Amino acid sequence: MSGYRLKPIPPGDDVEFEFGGRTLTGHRGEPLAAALLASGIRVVARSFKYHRPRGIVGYGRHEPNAHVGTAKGNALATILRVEDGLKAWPLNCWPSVDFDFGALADRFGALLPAGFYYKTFMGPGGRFWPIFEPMIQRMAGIGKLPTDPAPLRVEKRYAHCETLIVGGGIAGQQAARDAAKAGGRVWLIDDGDVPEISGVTVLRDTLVIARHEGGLFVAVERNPNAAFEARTWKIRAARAILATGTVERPMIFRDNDRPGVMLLSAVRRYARDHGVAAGKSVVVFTNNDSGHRHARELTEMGIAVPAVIDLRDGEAVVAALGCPVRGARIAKLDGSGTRDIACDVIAMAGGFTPLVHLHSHAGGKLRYARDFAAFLPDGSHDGAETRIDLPQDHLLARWEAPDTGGKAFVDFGADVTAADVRLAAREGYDGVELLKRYTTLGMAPDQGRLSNMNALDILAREKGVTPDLVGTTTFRPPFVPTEFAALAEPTGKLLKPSRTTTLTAWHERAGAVMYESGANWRRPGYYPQNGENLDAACARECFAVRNAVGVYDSSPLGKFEVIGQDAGAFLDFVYATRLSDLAPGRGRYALQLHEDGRLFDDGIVFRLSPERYFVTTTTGNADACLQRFEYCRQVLRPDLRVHIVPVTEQWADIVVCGPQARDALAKAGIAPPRDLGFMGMAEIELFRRRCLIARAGFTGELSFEILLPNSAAPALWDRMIAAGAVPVGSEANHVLRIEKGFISVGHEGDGIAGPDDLGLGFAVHAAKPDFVGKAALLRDRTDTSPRPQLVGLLARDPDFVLPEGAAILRADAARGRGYVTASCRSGALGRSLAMGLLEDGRALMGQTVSVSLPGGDAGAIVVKPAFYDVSGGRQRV
Amino acid sequence: MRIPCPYCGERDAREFSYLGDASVARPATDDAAAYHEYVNLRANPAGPHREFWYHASGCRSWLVVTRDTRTHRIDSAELAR
Amino acid sequence: MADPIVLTAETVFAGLLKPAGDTRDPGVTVREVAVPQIASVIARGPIPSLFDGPKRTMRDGTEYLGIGPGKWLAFGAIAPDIASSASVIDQSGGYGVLEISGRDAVATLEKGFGIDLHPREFAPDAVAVTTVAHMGVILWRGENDAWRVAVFRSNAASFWRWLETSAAVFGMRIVAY
Repeated sequence: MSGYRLKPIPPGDDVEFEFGGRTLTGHRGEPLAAALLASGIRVVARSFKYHRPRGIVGYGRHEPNAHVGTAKGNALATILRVEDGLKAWPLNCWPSVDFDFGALADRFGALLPAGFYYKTFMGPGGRFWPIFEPMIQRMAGIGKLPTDPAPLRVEKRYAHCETLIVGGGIAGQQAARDAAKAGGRVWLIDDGDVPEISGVTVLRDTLVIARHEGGLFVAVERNPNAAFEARTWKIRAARAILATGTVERPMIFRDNDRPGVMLLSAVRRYARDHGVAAGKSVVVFTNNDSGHRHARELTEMGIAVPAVIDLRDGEAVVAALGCPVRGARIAKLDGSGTRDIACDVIAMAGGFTPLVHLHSHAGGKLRYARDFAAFLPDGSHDGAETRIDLPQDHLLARWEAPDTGGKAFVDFGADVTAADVRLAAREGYDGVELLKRYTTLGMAPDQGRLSNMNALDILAREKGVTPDLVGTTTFRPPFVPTEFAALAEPTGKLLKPSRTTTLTAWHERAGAVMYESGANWRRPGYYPQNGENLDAACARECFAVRNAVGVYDSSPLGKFEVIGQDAGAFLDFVYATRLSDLAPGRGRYALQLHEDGRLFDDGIVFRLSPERYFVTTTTGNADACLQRFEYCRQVLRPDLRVHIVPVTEQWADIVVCGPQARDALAKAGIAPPRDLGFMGMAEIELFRRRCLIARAGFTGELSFEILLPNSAAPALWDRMIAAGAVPVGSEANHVLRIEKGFISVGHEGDGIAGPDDLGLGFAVHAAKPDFVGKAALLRDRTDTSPRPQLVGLLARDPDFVLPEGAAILRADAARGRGYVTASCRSGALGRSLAMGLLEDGRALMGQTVSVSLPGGDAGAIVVKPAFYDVSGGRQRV
Repeated sequence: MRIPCPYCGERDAREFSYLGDASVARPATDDAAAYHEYVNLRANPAGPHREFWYHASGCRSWLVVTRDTRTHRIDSAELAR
Repeated sequence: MADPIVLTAETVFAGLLKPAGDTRDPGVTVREVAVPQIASVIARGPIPSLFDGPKRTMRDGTEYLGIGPGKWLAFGAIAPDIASSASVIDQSGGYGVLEISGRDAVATLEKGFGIDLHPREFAPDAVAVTTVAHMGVILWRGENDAWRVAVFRSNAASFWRWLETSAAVFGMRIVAY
């Protein structure tokens, strides 16, 4: 036994817990580390790379070794609280913490120098890595992932305050009192306990893990209430005071990682705050006044301190003896005067490193303070002021004892030794960022909080410069390892909203297979009946449209009203197509281009009255179109008197299409105006509501598009179904439009193709004085490389459906010349059909190209991109 | 980053979408060289930059925001119109 | 028409609203506000009777919310003087409106709204067009200081899922309009 309790646990506060299968007793609410120390448990983990036995080094967040497993994943023994039923176990050890196969790595430690994995496994050829990686992973593996999909019940909260104080120590509490006097909302956050302060909102057990620009802080609160285990705060603070304190710096000597070597500050906290002596006899090794000051405190609390070894006196602890520690070997810096002192704890006191992470997260700069051998914030940054008081302890800037062989660790968590750092520097990895990547220094869960400064010091000495010239790595959020569940909503239910139409409930009741489509809309893909598969359902739906009548929920379509005396001029500017000459009650297929002349979006624009247009856009681009309309209105053409009103949400849109569409409408009691011709639009009254009916569609059949208030949509839909219309999903729509050779911006509009490439030159009215994209479209082309052009493709094998996205190769070219944009099996034509973008495709009509496929290329004949009712007569009847 | 929308007040930058340089002016369409510059060329200054932002999740105003590209400090935000 | 059906007023959240959590002492009360008339109002000229900013104006029983420069969303009939100097577009089917009140209403809203809801920052007549859980919404304070949220019709189900998830810990009851 080594550690012990300075005073007994008050009756009733003692609880039993389990560690590594052993039942132990602790003080309710104390950190597991305190209970383990008091129980004399010294080895609590094995190290990551060498599997060396490790004990508790630090206190609170700043613990490099003591990661333990729990049912909810890994935890730090220094954070985890002792409570009834607590069950934890040591990590990285198989079969047990006391005997571990992986520890063989330590014997052969000389074979595992810095960069070992790169050098050995990823060297020329890289042949060995795939073989060894799983083995290395298994040996190094730090714990098991919890299998529970939502291991943490988390809620989110936003908050705003005028002053946020991070850190509830003496400086933080004083800052909070001062700020409360000044007024405004004052918040104080600490990851431990803080007393109430009048006028201050105090968050306890809460850790600020990030500071972002604009005063945005992210904090995770533990056990906020009975329903949640954590609460993630996003706090916007006008002003912040970062009183985040310091972490003590370790000393570097042989076997300084042995269980029993601790930070003096940690030994002091366990004794002062938890009444636990980490050992019976504590040798202190320091380079500054704090070692002596805190050693006296230990003595006053009744802990024996046989010696304080001070580097400033020319003496050092050169090695820890025993494992766990049984003594300390002391020597003069010249190697003389070796003596051993029996002890079970060696307490390291290498001065204090300010925790400047939050200052740095949002881009605050640091300066090197020589007196403290530390980096400090270079003034306040973005409204955040760091307040860290460093005592003047007359620090000697040396942390390393004379080398007596063996391993002297710089980074306990990542198992990086002083020799590794030197080797990296000698091999040319002497920049701080390179050093980190080469040695993995600072990559352990403590992110180098204990190790970075000591590594910088060694690197600076190797390079013969001061540490400020070496610099430090960039601190990035999170400040401590944080569960994904605390950052992302764990169930996925709230990650992404979906949009439904008024008819979604009907589609779902009808058994439709729902697809997530553009702009988050959930829409029916197909309506399988009697166990149909996709192909069968799709073929039946297509057949209905081509031979009878179908009904399609087109409500997600982007819809806008464009109103005002300059509405026509405005649309002439936004669209490449002339729209100002449309007669009221007429519509026209129209294109929007990017300023560089490529296709942006398409749709049908109707004129309702001289000053009122009804504009439809693609579903996926509706928001982007609105943004662009407003850009044209507000920025490019503020001279035009026009208003743009998005009405996508206002109108349901039901398309009735097929040769029997008119009869079906009649059966449903709807009589379109007699003179409503192809591309016409008229107002009608349905269910005593003003509705719009248009002769337009995407299938090439006689087609009526009925726009009606959402409340009326289910009634009309039911009537159309009762009238015999077959509900049609997006799969059938896809087939029908390919048969017609109609483009879909999401497929053929690939951001490169222009209107002419897509055979849409007819919709560009270049005689207009100006429109977005005109200059680029009409300028002399200096680039004479072949353009991708829209073609139809008929696979040699009519039963084979070419995969969408597959590359098209020309017979004379090894490289890809295009790709398949859309493909389907067509019932109307009794074969497969495809469309594609192919370089100089129009010059290749009738020729055979090959479509590149993993299982061997497929031949296809290039044809015009129209397969069904090429003259377009059916939609005009 | 926070953008002080002249209509809505200060809002998170996530509510806005970015377009770019607000100092470029759309030229007369028959000027090919000017057009080429307008469509394809942008300066990338380190320092104060006038740029277009659209308050997509708010009032749908296009703004001209003067932002220091090195520090993200915003000196002004005004309606583009 | 064969047999005209007379439609009832829009209730976008019908069928969605269900109590959540422990409702013995609910911290949150929700009701759907059925509004027969909603319209976009866009000024063609000056409209002195409406405040041009993110605030709520009541006129003749109609609530006008400032949602952008020279733009309002109106709940109710549009006064003739306003209609004559504005473009008015029907949006009656485009939004669902919920009223959220109770002791824990603000705490619930703060689980999704990133804007500052403190009374000093969000006065009783304030209006905000913003987002919650990746959805565009309009938030304002209506009669009796209760919070009101207008949600696009297509987002109603997703918004409701967010609201019931957020309010369950406080207990949420539903009251009829």
